[in-house]
Amino acid sequence: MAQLTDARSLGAAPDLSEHQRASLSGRIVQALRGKPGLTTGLLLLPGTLWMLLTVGTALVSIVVFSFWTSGFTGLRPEYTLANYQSLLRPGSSFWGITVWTLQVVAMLLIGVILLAYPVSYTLWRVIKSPYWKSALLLLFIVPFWTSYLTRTITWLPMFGREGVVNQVLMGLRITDEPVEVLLYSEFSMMVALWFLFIVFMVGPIYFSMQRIDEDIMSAAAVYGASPWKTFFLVVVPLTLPGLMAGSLFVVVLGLAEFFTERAIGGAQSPMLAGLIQRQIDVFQFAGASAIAVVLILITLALVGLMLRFFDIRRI
Amino acid sequence: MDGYDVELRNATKRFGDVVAVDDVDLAVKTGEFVSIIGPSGCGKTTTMRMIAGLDQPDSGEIIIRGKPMQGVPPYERNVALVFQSFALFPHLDVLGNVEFGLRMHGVDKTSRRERARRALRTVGLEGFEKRRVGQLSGGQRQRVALARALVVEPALILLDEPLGSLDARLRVDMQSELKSLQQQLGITFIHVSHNQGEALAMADRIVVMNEGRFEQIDPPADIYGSPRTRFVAQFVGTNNIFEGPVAGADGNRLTVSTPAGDLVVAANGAAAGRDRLSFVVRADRVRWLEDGRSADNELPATVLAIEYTGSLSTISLSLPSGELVKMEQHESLLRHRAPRHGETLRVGWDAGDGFVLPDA
Repeated sequence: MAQLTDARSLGAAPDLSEHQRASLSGRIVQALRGKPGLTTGLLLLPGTLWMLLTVGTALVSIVVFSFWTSGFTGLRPEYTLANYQSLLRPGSSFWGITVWTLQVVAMLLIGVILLAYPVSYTLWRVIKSPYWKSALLLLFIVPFWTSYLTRTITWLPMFGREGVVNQVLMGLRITDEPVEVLLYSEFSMMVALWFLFIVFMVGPIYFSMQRIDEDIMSAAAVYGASPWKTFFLVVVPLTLPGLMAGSLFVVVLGLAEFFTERAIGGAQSPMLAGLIQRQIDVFQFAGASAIAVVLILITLALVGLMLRFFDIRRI
Repeated sequence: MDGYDVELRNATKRFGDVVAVDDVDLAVKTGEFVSIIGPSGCGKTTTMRMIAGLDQPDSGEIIIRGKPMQGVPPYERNVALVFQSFALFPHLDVLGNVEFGLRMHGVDKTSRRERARRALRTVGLEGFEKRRVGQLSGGQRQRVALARALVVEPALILLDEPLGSLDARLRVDMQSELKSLQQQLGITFIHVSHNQGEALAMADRIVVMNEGRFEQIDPPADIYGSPRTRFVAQFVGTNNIFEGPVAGADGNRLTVSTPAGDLVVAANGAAAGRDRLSFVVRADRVRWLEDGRSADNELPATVLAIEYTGSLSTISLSLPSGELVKMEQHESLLRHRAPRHGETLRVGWDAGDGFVLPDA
């Protein structure tokens, strides 16, 4: 008899004693028995509530604020479409800034991909010693743990008029005068962005390269593919999941980028996120919210497009 | 030089202090099926990788169709390799995998499609062109890998444990298929395996490899029947090896004092002038002497274990001296009277069943 009970309890919830049956938890277990859907729902509930409370509240507030009116003392709950009308009217600077934002994100993505592939490939196949592999990979990952602001600000003493790079260039007599384009230019902003974001691409690409079977690489060589052909026809297709994961990071975070443009780009060519900040600087909270809503929609559209093009579940 | 697809001349490969392949020579004729067998770590895979160009020999030469391969990368060698893991490209469908080699060599789309389809037909995978590699069974992947090798019309096809990842039943089927395919197409095959059964079944010649060296290169019957070294005798087939000083000679028969007792063995060329020798008695030559049958060598032996493998049973026996002897008996002989554990049998073999090993 005892054995029979054991065998049955392997497949089902154990039989409860009278004491357990009477307790609250015992009654919950009884009520959920044989209802896996309800159990799953209950397990998801705390996380869902937390997300709704934090992200959800913030999102809803921004959407609501975008229909309010900005006043000298702050937001007034007077509903209006004026924020969107002035933002989206033909000839508004919003359009140019949106195009510029998309351009920057595109250049950022392309640059980061072009930089990340050689770096990942070198880490994967050129460097043989596992010691050096981990050391170099760590060099890429440590900045990831450093504050974003710190990483940006360290560019200033490097690339300023009196910065390290100019000192070296002038010391070596490569130039007579400090090179100005190194700081406070669109070029310097782009360079800084590439180096800020490369970590998001090197990681995923390197890890998906590591998953390529050594025999697959040998097979490519044996069947006539030179190292270049192997790279483009075998390695790149097989690292698309990593490329996609990295691209999602870069696009989403790139669209939200505002600080680099200010600190290193010289605050001359804001992107959408920078525009939000400038609105807030002059207390235009409603206008800022409207831009934020549009930026969120653009982000969602781009992410949706990327996911349509590539199934994230394959990663 | 003509008529050889591959030649190895004094090929040597070291990994640090380890000599993986030690000064080996081999010439494989066009259309020949050569199996390289040996225990794991014997250097057979390295030998194969050197032929494919995936590893470079430290010294010696590899010559493919008369051309020295020094410095020639794998992608310019016209050698195909069937991997144990199959190594199909997971991002390509079956057709994409099969035509990969042709695409790399710049064959135009129409003719490479046609050749790939023909190769798929040869391996019995017609209609699988659009399947993804992930949807295929092990046996089907094996066939795709084979079609990918055949389609490039290589100088030779290397097969690395090609049947290693297949289940037992499929392995036997693929074995005969591979052999008949190879004979039909007349392509040179070099097959690497640790499985002597595969090699005996398929190869025209077998190379037995041990610790980086080629111990013996001979047709299967000779490898099996006349092993040249103790290692070959131990590795191929089920053999009993006896060793001891020569105690007497009577015409063509030598008496050897082995730990198992004085045994007679037929002399061969290898035995001439030696005062100490070892000889091999194959397990299938050891007979169970029932009902007063006799043999040149007769011994009482106790049954330790009976290993049943279908048509054959391998019986491990212990001699009074403590030596072990293996005896293979056909199932039909054991049907009416099977030996039991612990039972003492009279076993024996004739002088002619022994084969004196050329080495020591």
